[in-house]
Amino acid sequence: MQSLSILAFLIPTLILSQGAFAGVSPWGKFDLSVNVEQNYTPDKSTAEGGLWMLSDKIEEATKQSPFLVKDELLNKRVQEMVCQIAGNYCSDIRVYILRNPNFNAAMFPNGMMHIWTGLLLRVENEAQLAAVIGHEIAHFLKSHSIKQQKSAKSKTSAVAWVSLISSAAEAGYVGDIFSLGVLASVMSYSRSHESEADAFGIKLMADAGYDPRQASLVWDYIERENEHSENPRKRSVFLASHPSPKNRKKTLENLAAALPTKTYLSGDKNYHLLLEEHYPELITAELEKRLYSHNEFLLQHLKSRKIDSIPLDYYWGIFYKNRGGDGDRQLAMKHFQKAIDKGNAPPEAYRELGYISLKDKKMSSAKKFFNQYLELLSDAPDKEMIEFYLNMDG
Amino acid sequence: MKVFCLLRLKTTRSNQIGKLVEGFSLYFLILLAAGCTTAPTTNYITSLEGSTAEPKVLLMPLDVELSALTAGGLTETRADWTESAIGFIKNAIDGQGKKRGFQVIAYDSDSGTQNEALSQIQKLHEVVGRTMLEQSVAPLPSKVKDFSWSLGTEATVLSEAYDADYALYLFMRDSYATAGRQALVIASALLGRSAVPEVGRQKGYASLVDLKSGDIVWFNSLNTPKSLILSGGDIREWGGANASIEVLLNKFPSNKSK
Repeated sequence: MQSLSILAFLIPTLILSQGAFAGVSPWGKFDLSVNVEQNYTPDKSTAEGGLWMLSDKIEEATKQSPFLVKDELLNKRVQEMVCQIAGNYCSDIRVYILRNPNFNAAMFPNGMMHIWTGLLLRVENEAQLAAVIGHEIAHFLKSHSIKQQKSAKSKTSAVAWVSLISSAAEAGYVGDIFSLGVLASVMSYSRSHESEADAFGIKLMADAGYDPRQASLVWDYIERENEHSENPRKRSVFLASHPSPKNRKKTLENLAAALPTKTYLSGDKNYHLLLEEHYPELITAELEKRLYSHNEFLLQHLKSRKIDSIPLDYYWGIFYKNRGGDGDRQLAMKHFQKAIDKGNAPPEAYRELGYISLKDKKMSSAKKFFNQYLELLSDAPDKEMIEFYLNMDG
Repeated sequence: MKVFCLLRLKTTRSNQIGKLVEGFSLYFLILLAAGCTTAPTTNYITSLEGSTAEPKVLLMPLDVELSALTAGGLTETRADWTESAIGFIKNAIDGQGKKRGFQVIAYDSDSGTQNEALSQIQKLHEVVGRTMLEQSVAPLPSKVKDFSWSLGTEATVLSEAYDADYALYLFMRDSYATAGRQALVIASALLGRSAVPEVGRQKGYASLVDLKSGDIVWFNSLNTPKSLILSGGDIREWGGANASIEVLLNKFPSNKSK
């Protein structure tokens, strides 16, 4: 029964982390009642107690993770937003920001929330971040993890019995078809939870004063980045367990329109200030993924956001250098030079120009750039390497 | 028989013949190495040695999880079972310490005193331990006779932090069939199915690291399927936990000076 073993593999990952969010239609369709009490901890002899124990174990590891972002200001502000959105449940939710260049956030059954830096790079303002936080808190308040575990348990038990009985009746294929149906049903159950969390989440963010119209823009961006990709993810597990970005966008738009009109905060400026000093690291990590169509789309997106403090020309230079297609070396050179001319290039722009000159066998200009690099960054980590080139003949 | 296979060839890199010689010597080196037998290296120890009369063994955080095995084959972790099993296993290891003459030092896993370097050693051991477990079942040719695993000298940070001679790691996963699962198993047997579903399994391993070198100096594993008829090995209870540790640490090194 191969399909069952696939299930056994998939279900724990689905249960443990409620991944990035989800959407559906009018408000009447959603039950926005909260399913957990404040300061709740489950009985240790229950399935939920087991999930909490595993999550606690992951949380201990998270605290010691080298990927944990420790910047005080950023953590303080994000935790503050969590408290605004979670209201009375503030003390039940702990947020951890992790260095991962991909777009995701996750909620664990014990109240631990993970936010990846790739998400921070992609959302444009506090309201969009609030939409993500609201979605994850909604998973927690609706205790979706344990509901999925219970549902998976009864459905897989049914599979085991049906395949036993159908094989006794010499109709073994019935069991297999049935268990495929169960996989689809577990996924669709997960999708309905994502939609519920989208709706509940947008309500929570709006109640906290963040502009609910920003929620659909998160999905608008994700949809456009995917469409731009040369290798769009079609029917992946993620998309099977989550509604499509297009549907989520539409639903969130409709839900936002039906919320009371008042003055909401989008928090563009605050968000830029908060992320300003982190952008170099976040963009560098994104470019290191070397998924060129995604990199390109993201750089264009950052350009449209007009954040003056980011030396975008420099990053375009890195992008072309990494891609290394026909004519890319020239484009890289052009962008590094442009960044230098604008006066906001980091010292590494000179080093990159040095390497390009080296490749073009222009020794004297390579040495000129390398010297400029070391002048600006006298304790460069690659100083010895650069000095090696400076001492080369020619 | 111990043959030293050391080959040193000088070649001139600047000419074609040199390159040819280099190519050939590499070829012969491979041939030679293939026929070369070396004595199996082993870090395995049978007795404990420490800086004090009673060697100090640092007990690392136990990686133990107990779960219920549902009818559909999913495992549901149980916090209460896990908690009591961890308590029993700790006591059982203390008992082994008295019997074999070593002192058990507890690891402080409070996150306040933990640091990244220490937790990286734990993560490294997770990988090495898992590899050793796989290799104990289906070893690579080079690992059939060799016992040469190590965490590297970085592991000595543990001896500095705890003033210990050895570190003991223990991993265990144990599952127990729910009533629904048991019914399914009985029905399968009654219907004459050739593949009767499992009623649970106890898997685990323990490994001992010498904190002076970072080498793993002892390792043992167990993998026991459960049976509906035979009871025993239930680590949710003191007797079963103590018996399982007795089996797992059966040939654990002792303090010979005692």
